[in-house]
Amino acid sequence: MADGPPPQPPSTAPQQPPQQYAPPGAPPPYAGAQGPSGPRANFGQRLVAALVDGIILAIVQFIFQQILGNAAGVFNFAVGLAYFIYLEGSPSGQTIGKKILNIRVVDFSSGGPIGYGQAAIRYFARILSAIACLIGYLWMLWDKERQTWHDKLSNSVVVPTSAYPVADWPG
Amino acid sequence: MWRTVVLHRPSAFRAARLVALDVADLRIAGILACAASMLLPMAPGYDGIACPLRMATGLPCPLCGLTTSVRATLRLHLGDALAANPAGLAVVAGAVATLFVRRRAIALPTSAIPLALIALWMFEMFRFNVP
Repeated sequence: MADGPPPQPPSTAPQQPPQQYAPPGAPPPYAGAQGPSGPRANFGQRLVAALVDGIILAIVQFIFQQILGNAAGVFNFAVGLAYFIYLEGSPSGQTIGKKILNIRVVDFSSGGPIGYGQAAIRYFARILSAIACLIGYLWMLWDKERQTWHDKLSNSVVVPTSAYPVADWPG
Repeated sequence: MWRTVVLHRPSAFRAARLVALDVADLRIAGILACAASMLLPMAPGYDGIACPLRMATGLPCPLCGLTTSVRATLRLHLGDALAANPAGLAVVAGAVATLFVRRRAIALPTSAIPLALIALWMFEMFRFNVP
Protein backbone atom coordinates (compact mmCIF):
# COMPACT_ATOMS: atom_id res chain seq x y z
CA MET A 1 0.00 0.00 0.00
CA ALA A 2 1.33 3.42 -0.84
CA ASP A 3 0.98 5.77 2.06
CA GLY A 4 1.49 9.48 1.75
CA PRO A 5 3.81 11.46 3.97
CA PRO A 6 2.96 11.17 7.66
CA PRO A 7 1.21 14.14 9.25
CA GLN A 8 3.61 16.17 11.29
CA PRO A 9 2.63 16.56 14.93
CA PRO A 10 2.69 20.15 16.11
CA SER A 11 6.07 21.53 16.97
CA THR A 12 6.86 21.84 20.64
CA ALA A 13 9.70 24.29 20.17
CA PRO A 14 8.63 27.52 21.83
CA GLN A 15 10.42 29.84 19.41
CA GLN A 16 9.53 28.06 16.16
CA PRO A 17 5.98 28.20 14.80
CA PRO A 18 5.01 24.77 13.42
CA GLN A 19 4.90 24.20 9.71
CA GLN A 20 1.36 24.62 8.50
CA TYR A 21 -0.28 22.89 5.59
CA ALA A 22 -1.47 24.97 2.68
CA PRO A 23 -2.22 23.89 -0.89
CA PRO A 24 0.61 24.72 -3.28
CA GLY A 25 0.54 28.38 -4.20
CA ALA A 26 -2.18 29.25 -1.72
CA PRO A 27 -1.74 32.18 0.62
CA PRO A 28 -1.50 31.42 4.33
CA PRO A 29 -4.98 30.99 5.81
CA TYR A 30 -4.59 33.77 8.34
CA ALA A 31 -1.42 35.50 9.37
CA GLY A 32 -0.37 34.49 12.85
CA ALA A 33 -2.99 31.76 13.27
CA GLN A 34 -2.24 28.08 13.57
CA GLY A 35 -3.75 25.69 11.06
CA PRO A 36 -3.45 21.93 10.71
CA SER A 37 0.00 20.40 10.34
CA GLY A 38 -1.05 18.47 7.22
CA PRO A 39 -3.90 18.08 4.72
CA ARG A 40 -7.23 17.27 6.32
CA ALA A 41 -10.66 16.20 5.13
CA ASN A 42 -13.08 19.07 5.42
CA PHE A 43 -16.30 19.18 7.42
CA GLY A 44 -18.54 18.70 4.38
CA GLN A 45 -16.69 15.60 3.21
CA ARG A 46 -16.84 14.02 6.64
CA LEU A 47 -20.50 14.91 7.06
CA VAL A 48 -21.55 13.38 3.74
CA ALA A 49 -19.41 10.28 4.37
CA ALA A 50 -21.10 9.83 7.74
CA LEU A 51 -24.52 10.21 6.10
CA VAL A 52 -23.68 7.59 3.48
CA ASP A 53 -22.45 5.16 6.16
CA GLY A 54 -25.53 5.90 8.25
CA ILE A 55 -27.87 5.17 5.34
CA ILE A 56 -26.07 1.90 4.50
CA LEU A 57 -26.20 0.73 8.11
CA ALA A 58 -29.82 1.81 8.47
CA ILE A 59 -30.79 -0.31 5.45
CA VAL A 60 -28.93 -3.36 6.76
CA GLN A 61 -30.36 -2.90 10.24
CA PHE A 62 -33.87 -2.47 8.84
CA ILE A 63 -33.50 -5.81 7.05
CA PHE A 64 -32.31 -7.48 10.26
CA GLN A 65 -35.23 -5.90 12.09
CA GLN A 66 -37.69 -7.34 9.57
CA ILE A 67 -36.16 -10.80 9.74
CA LEU A 68 -35.37 -11.11 13.44
CA GLY A 69 -37.87 -8.77 15.07
CA ASN A 70 -36.98 -7.80 18.64
CA ALA A 71 -33.88 -9.99 18.64
CA ALA A 72 -32.28 -7.77 16.00
CA GLY A 73 -30.81 -5.35 18.55
CA VAL A 74 -27.70 -7.38 19.24
CA PHE A 75 -27.16 -8.09 15.55
CA ASN A 76 -27.58 -4.43 14.69
CA PHE A 77 -25.01 -3.41 17.28
CA ALA A 78 -22.62 -6.07 15.98
CA VAL A 79 -23.12 -4.95 12.38
CA GLY A 80 -22.24 -1.34 13.24
CA LEU A 81 -19.26 -2.43 15.29
CA ALA A 82 -17.93 -4.77 12.61
CA TYR A 83 -18.53 -2.28 9.80
CA PHE A 84 -16.49 0.52 11.36
CA ILE A 85 -13.77 -1.56 12.99
CA TYR A 86 -13.12 -3.73 9.92
CA LEU A 87 -13.19 -0.94 7.37
CA GLU A 88 -11.53 1.88 9.33
CA GLY A 89 -8.98 -0.53 10.77
CA SER A 90 -8.12 -1.92 7.34
CA PRO A 91 -5.02 -0.65 5.50
CA SER A 92 -7.20 1.69 3.42
CA GLY A 93 -8.90 3.20 6.48
CA GLN A 94 -12.02 3.79 4.43
CA THR A 95 -15.66 3.00 5.09
CA ILE A 96 -17.89 3.02 2.02
CA GLY A 97 -18.85 6.63 2.73
CA LYS A 98 -15.22 7.67 3.07
CA LYS A 99 -14.32 5.80 -0.12
CA ILE A 100 -17.02 7.66 -2.05
CA LEU A 101 -15.83 10.99 -0.62
CA ASN A 102 -12.13 10.14 -1.24
CA ILE A 103 -11.07 10.49 2.37
CA ARG A 104 -9.51 8.03 4.79
CA VAL A 105 -8.53 7.58 8.44
CA VAL A 106 -4.82 7.49 9.22
CA ASP A 107 -2.75 7.39 12.38
CA PHE A 108 -1.83 10.92 13.48
CA SER A 109 1.72 9.97 14.42
CA SER A 110 2.73 7.68 11.56
CA GLY A 111 0.35 8.53 8.71
CA GLY A 112 -0.29 4.81 8.26
CA PRO A 113 -3.34 2.63 8.95
CA ILE A 114 -4.76 2.84 12.46
CA GLY A 115 -5.30 -0.92 12.83
CA TYR A 116 -8.24 -2.71 14.39
CA GLY A 117 -7.43 -1.80 18.00
CA GLN A 118 -7.41 1.92 17.36
CA ALA A 119 -10.47 1.51 15.14
CA ALA A 120 -12.31 -0.08 18.07
CA ILE A 121 -11.31 2.80 20.36
CA ARG A 122 -12.44 5.20 17.66
CA TYR A 123 -15.80 3.46 17.35
CA PHE A 124 -16.59 3.59 21.07
CA ALA A 125 -15.23 7.12 21.38
CA ARG A 126 -17.96 8.22 18.97
CA ILE A 127 -20.36 7.79 21.87
CA LEU A 128 -18.49 10.53 23.74
CA SER A 129 -18.46 12.72 20.64
CA ALA A 130 -22.22 12.37 20.29
CA ILE A 131 -23.36 12.50 23.90
CA ALA A 132 -23.26 16.27 24.39
CA CYS A 133 -25.41 17.27 21.41
CA LEU A 134 -22.63 16.32 18.97
CA ILE A 135 -20.09 18.79 20.39
CA GLY A 136 -17.39 16.15 19.92
CA TYR A 137 -18.13 16.04 16.19
CA LEU A 138 -18.36 19.82 15.86
CA TRP A 139 -15.01 20.15 17.65
CA MET A 140 -13.21 19.72 14.32
CA LEU A 141 -14.54 23.12 13.22
CA TRP A 142 -12.31 24.94 15.70
CA ASP A 143 -9.61 22.38 16.42
CA LYS A 144 -6.15 23.25 15.14
CA GLU A 145 -5.64 19.74 13.75
CA ARG A 146 -9.28 19.44 12.58
CA GLN A 147 -9.84 16.50 14.93
CA THR A 148 -13.09 15.38 16.51
CA TRP A 149 -13.05 13.93 20.02
CA HIS A 150 -12.99 10.38 18.66
CA ASP A 151 -10.09 11.32 16.40
CA LYS A 152 -8.17 12.59 19.42
CA LEU A 153 -8.95 9.60 21.60
CA SER A 154 -7.83 7.19 18.90
CA ASN A 155 -4.84 9.34 17.83
CA SER A 156 -6.11 9.53 14.26
CA VAL A 157 -6.91 12.11 11.63
CA VAL A 158 -9.12 12.02 8.54
CA VAL A 159 -7.25 13.04 5.41
CA PRO A 160 -7.94 13.31 1.68
CA THR A 161 -6.77 10.38 -0.45
CA SER A 162 -5.23 12.88 -2.88
CA ALA A 163 -2.52 13.40 -0.26
CA TYR A 164 -2.56 9.88 1.20
CA PRO A 165 -3.32 7.52 -1.73
CA VAL A 166 -5.01 4.18 -1.18
CA ALA A 167 -3.59 1.17 -3.10
CA ASP A 168 -6.66 -1.03 -2.88
CA TRP A 169 -9.88 -1.16 -0.90
CA PRO A 170 -10.37 -2.25 1.80
CA GLY A 171 -6.78 -3.47 1.58
CA MET B 1 14.42 56.33 37.94
CA TRP B 2 11.76 54.68 35.81
CA ARG B 3 12.61 53.29 32.45
CA THR B 4 10.41 51.78 29.84
CA VAL B 5 10.68 48.03 29.46
CA VAL B 6 9.47 46.60 26.17
CA LEU B 7 8.43 42.98 26.39
CA HIS B 8 9.22 41.30 23.09
CA ARG B 9 6.93 38.38 22.44
CA PRO B 10 8.11 36.03 19.72
CA SER B 11 5.71 35.49 16.84
CA ALA B 12 5.28 31.84 17.83
CA PHE B 13 3.91 33.01 21.16
CA ARG B 14 1.26 35.09 19.45
CA ALA B 15 0.54 32.41 16.85
CA ALA B 16 0.00 29.79 19.55
CA ARG B 17 -2.92 31.83 20.79
CA LEU B 18 -4.82 31.97 17.52
CA VAL B 19 -6.42 29.13 15.65
CA ALA B 20 -7.49 29.28 12.00
CA LEU B 21 -11.11 28.34 11.32
CA ASP B 22 -12.00 27.21 7.81
CA VAL B 23 -14.72 29.51 6.47
CA ALA B 24 -16.13 26.87 4.09
CA ASP B 25 -16.57 24.44 6.99
CA LEU B 26 -18.24 27.10 9.12
CA ARG B 27 -20.55 27.99 6.22
CA ILE B 28 -21.67 24.38 5.80
CA ALA B 29 -22.21 23.90 9.54
CA GLY B 30 -24.07 27.20 9.88
CA ILE B 31 -26.37 26.62 6.93
CA LEU B 32 -27.01 23.07 8.12
CA ALA B 33 -27.92 24.31 11.61
CA CYS B 34 -30.31 26.90 10.18
CA ALA B 35 -31.91 24.41 7.79
CA ALA B 36 -32.27 21.74 10.46
CA SER B 37 -33.83 24.13 12.95
CA MET B 38 -36.46 25.17 10.41
CA LEU B 39 -37.15 21.76 8.86
CA LEU B 40 -37.03 19.40 11.84
CA PRO B 41 -40.10 20.88 13.59
CA MET B 42 -42.09 20.13 10.42
CA ALA B 43 -41.38 16.42 10.78
CA PRO B 44 -44.38 14.40 11.94
CA GLY B 45 -44.20 13.58 15.65
CA TYR B 46 -41.31 16.00 16.28
CA ASP B 47 -41.02 16.79 19.96
CA GLY B 48 -37.61 18.42 20.18
CA ILE B 49 -34.21 16.77 19.95
CA ALA B 50 -33.51 14.84 23.11
CA CYS B 51 -30.03 15.58 24.49
CA PRO B 52 -28.31 12.24 25.20
CA LEU B 53 -26.30 13.77 28.06
CA ARG B 54 -29.42 15.13 29.73
CA MET B 55 -31.25 11.84 29.27
CA ALA B 56 -28.34 9.88 30.72
CA THR B 57 -27.30 12.16 33.58
CA GLY B 58 -29.97 14.83 34.04
CA LEU B 59 -27.37 17.48 33.23
CA PRO B 60 -27.93 19.68 30.18
CA CYS B 61 -25.12 20.14 27.68
CA PRO B 62 -23.86 23.52 26.40
CA LEU B 63 -25.86 23.18 23.19
CA CYS B 64 -29.21 22.26 24.74
CA GLY B 65 -31.90 24.55 23.29
CA LEU B 66 -29.81 25.43 20.23
CA THR B 67 -32.37 24.24 17.68
CA THR B 68 -35.06 26.31 19.39
CA SER B 69 -32.72 29.29 19.62
CA VAL B 70 -31.67 29.19 15.96
CA ARG B 71 -35.27 28.82 14.86
CA ALA B 72 -36.36 31.76 17.06
CA THR B 73 -33.49 33.90 15.74
CA LEU B 74 -34.45 33.18 12.14
CA ARG B 75 -37.99 34.28 13.01
CA LEU B 76 -36.54 37.38 14.72
CA HIS B 77 -37.88 36.36 18.11
CA LEU B 78 -34.63 37.37 19.72
CA GLY B 79 -35.87 37.26 23.30
CA ASP B 80 -36.98 33.65 22.91
CA ALA B 81 -33.66 32.86 21.25
CA LEU B 82 -31.65 34.33 24.11
CA ALA B 83 -33.76 32.53 26.66
CA ALA B 84 -33.24 29.14 24.99
CA ASN B 85 -29.53 29.39 24.21
CA PRO B 86 -27.59 32.57 23.40
CA ALA B 87 -25.43 30.63 20.94
CA GLY B 88 -28.33 30.54 18.49
CA LEU B 89 -27.83 34.21 17.67
CA ALA B 90 -24.12 33.63 17.12
CA VAL B 91 -24.79 30.63 14.90
CA VAL B 92 -27.18 32.57 12.66
CA ALA B 93 -24.97 35.67 12.60
CA GLY B 94 -21.96 33.50 11.82
CA ALA B 95 -23.77 31.58 9.09
CA VAL B 96 -24.81 34.85 7.40
CA ALA B 97 -21.33 36.32 7.81
CA THR B 98 -19.67 33.33 6.15
CA LEU B 99 -21.71 34.03 3.01
CA PHE B 100 -19.88 37.34 2.62
CA VAL B 101 -16.44 36.56 3.99
CA ARG B 102 -13.91 36.22 1.19
CA ARG B 103 -11.11 34.85 3.35
CA ARG B 104 -10.33 31.14 3.28
CA ALA B 105 -10.00 31.15 7.05
CA ILE B 106 -10.64 33.38 10.01
CA ALA B 107 -8.68 33.48 13.25
CA LEU B 108 -9.99 33.19 16.78
CA PRO B 109 -8.16 33.01 20.08
CA THR B 110 -7.54 29.34 20.82
CA SER B 111 -9.43 29.51 24.10
CA ALA B 112 -12.43 31.47 22.78
CA ILE B 113 -14.71 28.58 21.88
CA PRO B 114 -13.89 26.34 24.87
CA LEU B 115 -14.56 29.32 27.16
CA ALA B 116 -17.79 30.10 25.32
CA LEU B 117 -18.88 26.48 25.73
CA ILE B 118 -18.20 26.64 29.46
CA ALA B 119 -20.22 29.86 29.70
CA LEU B 120 -23.07 28.26 27.75
CA TRP B 121 -22.97 25.23 29.99
CA MET B 122 -23.30 27.45 33.07
CA PHE B 123 -26.21 29.22 31.38
CA GLU B 124 -27.97 25.93 30.62
CA MET B 125 -27.38 24.67 34.18
CA PHE B 126 -29.04 27.83 35.44
CA ARG B 127 -31.88 27.51 32.92
CA PHE B 128 -32.62 23.95 33.98
CA ASN B 129 -32.19 24.77 37.69
CA VAL B 130 -29.37 22.32 38.11
CA PRO B 131 -27.73 22.98 41.50
